[in-house]
Amino acid sequence: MTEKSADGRVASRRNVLKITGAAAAFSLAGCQGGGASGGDTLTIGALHPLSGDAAEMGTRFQDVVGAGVQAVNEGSDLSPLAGAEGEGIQGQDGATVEVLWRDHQGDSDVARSEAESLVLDEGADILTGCYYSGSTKAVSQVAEREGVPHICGTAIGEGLTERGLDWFWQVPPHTGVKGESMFNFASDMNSEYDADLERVAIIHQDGTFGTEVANSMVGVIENSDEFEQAPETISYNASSVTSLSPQIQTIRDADADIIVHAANVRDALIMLEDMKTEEYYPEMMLTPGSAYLDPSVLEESVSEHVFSGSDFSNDMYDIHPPMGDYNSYAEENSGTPFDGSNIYAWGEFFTAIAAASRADSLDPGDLQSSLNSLSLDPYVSGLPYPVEFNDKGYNTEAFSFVVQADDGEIETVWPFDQAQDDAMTYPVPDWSER
Amino acid sequence: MIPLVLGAVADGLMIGLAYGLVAAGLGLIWGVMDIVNFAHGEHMLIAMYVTLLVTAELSVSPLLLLPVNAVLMFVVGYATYVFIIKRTMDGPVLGQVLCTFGLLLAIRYGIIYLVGPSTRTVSDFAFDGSTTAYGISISYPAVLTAVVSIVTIVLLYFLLERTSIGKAIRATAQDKQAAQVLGIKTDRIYAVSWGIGLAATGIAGTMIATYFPIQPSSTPGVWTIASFAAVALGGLGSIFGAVIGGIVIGLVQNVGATFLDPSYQQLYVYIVLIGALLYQREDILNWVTDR
Repeated sequence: MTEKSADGRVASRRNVLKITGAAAAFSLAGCQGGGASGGDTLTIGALHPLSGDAAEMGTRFQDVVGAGVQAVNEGSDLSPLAGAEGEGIQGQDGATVEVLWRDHQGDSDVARSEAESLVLDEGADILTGCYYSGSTKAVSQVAEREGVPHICGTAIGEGLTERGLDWFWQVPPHTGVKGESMFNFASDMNSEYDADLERVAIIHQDGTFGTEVANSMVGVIENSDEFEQAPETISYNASSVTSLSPQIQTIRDADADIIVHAANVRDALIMLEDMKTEEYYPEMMLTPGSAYLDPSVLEESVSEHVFSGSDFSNDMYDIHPPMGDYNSYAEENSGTPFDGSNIYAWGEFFTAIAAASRADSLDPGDLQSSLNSLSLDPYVSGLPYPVEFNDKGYNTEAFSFVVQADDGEIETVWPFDQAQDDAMTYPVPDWSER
Repeated sequence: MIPLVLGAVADGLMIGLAYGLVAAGLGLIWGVMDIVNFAHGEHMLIAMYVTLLVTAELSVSPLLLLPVNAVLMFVVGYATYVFIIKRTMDGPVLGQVLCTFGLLLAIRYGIIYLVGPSTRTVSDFAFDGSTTAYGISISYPAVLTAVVSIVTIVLLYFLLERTSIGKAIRATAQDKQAAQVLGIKTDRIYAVSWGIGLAATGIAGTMIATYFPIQPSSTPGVWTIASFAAVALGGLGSIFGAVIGGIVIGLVQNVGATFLDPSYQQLYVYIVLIGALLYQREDILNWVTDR
């Protein structure tokens, strides 16, 4: 039986069978190679937003993690960073690491299906991600079902480790810890600088991230004798907002001393521009997420003097010299320096490397045991604080300091003993004096 | 209290006029051809990025780019019709919908490919800044945008009402076959309508870029949604209805958020929109039936 194709070639049954057989062989070979975690390659499935609002952030994640992969596979002198002992992961006989990137577009359903593909089709040993809390939740459900570790270093939702999961670990400080740091800072400002900060306005985008941050901040304030919330929590839709002037007016009327704003990048800029138009600035603008630390926000003059809870500052290298070495390596090899958001991806990746290096094998159960018993000194995970997970999978050593935007950079201002002498600008000058 | 009211109304009017100008282009194309341009916000994005890049590279005032972007977007609109939309005109409506949706993706990801996905703003605009008068804080770029919107809308009015091309556009919108019988080349009219619609959008994009952050993925949606709401509110197919719709949306957003809970700013808009649609239901049904 033959069929003549459009270009005159003859497709015989034998040819069809040959092609089919070859395709089957290829696909079987592919299954075998991707599905096994045979000890020579650690496959990390990284799920992050590579398109949409946070696309550039995701790209910066890829850049620094790419440098991290190079550091592990080719060896580096970045001691005490995990994987810096030689070429490959020494605890796994020099196994190399590969990172398979997937774009979840900020969509939980996409994140879920991409996670399934990474685990079932690509044989990922570990999943990382996902920046957005909603996507993180979706992926962790897949990880739980399939019995694959999910290491989250980029989402800071407080409730993420409160779901009774056995395969989920959260590295960075969650919003509750960030809130405590931020309000400890404000409290210290009252005692050390007579700042007289009391009334707190909370405004947030109404997505999962913003709502979780707001809830955490409300919780911290309710447990405080020093601060009170005024006015009621204000939310807005980040995807449709064009003006925050009415919200600013409400906050002004409530005579708030501190504004806590959980935002995405675009609405952070709208907030600052509208505050400038309204010629209003509170005693302190205090932000918990990474939007206000995004380079595109920091390069705008309106972002000057905003305080943020952060794991990173441009002057941290004096206090934490290994972080300076890591930053130099990342910038040299990827062209992208650390910033307030990609440092989380760096920490996420090296926590995975540290866990893999300490595991008996790359089998899921061994990786799980390794993560549960992990105890890393500062800098081993690529972060300035230790890593040690509690039985819920939360890093109890995670810590957030407070930084202030200054001429396009961010500088540590709290804890005071980690800050440079002239780092902080307070009181913050009015718009007319800038 | 009075400054609060005046402030909310002034802010609402200014942003509403910007919505109105963006919606006018959408309304024109919708009204003449019965096609919803889902890529409307992305078309505006082209003008925004031209403004952003040219002002950054050549230190040219965005105001000087108004005619440039108007002409550029006219050409883009004309070409869009001739090379893409025209080929779908005899097919099912779904084909046109998918076509403009495809355009949306092509423009959005084309821009991301060319300039990256980061959020950016036009800096060093000569009219940057704000002032306070009678207790109302007013942003200069917002005022300027409102003025440019009014001028553009008036020009659109004269173009459609007082010129032969405008009459031909209106005739084609009312009855394509009758217009053809009268010797109007309706294909060309469609192309010109796309051109004019996107030229208005280009002008809007130029001005809006002066005071709003620009991001390829999120910015178009904000303005497309507002435009759809304005067109739906003002009457499907009417340019001036779209402008009025835009102003109503701006006012409801700002006045509602100022005097009610600001967390539900968008809810107020859609309550008004749904109410207006229910009230106008017969008219809309007639409008649809007439076609």
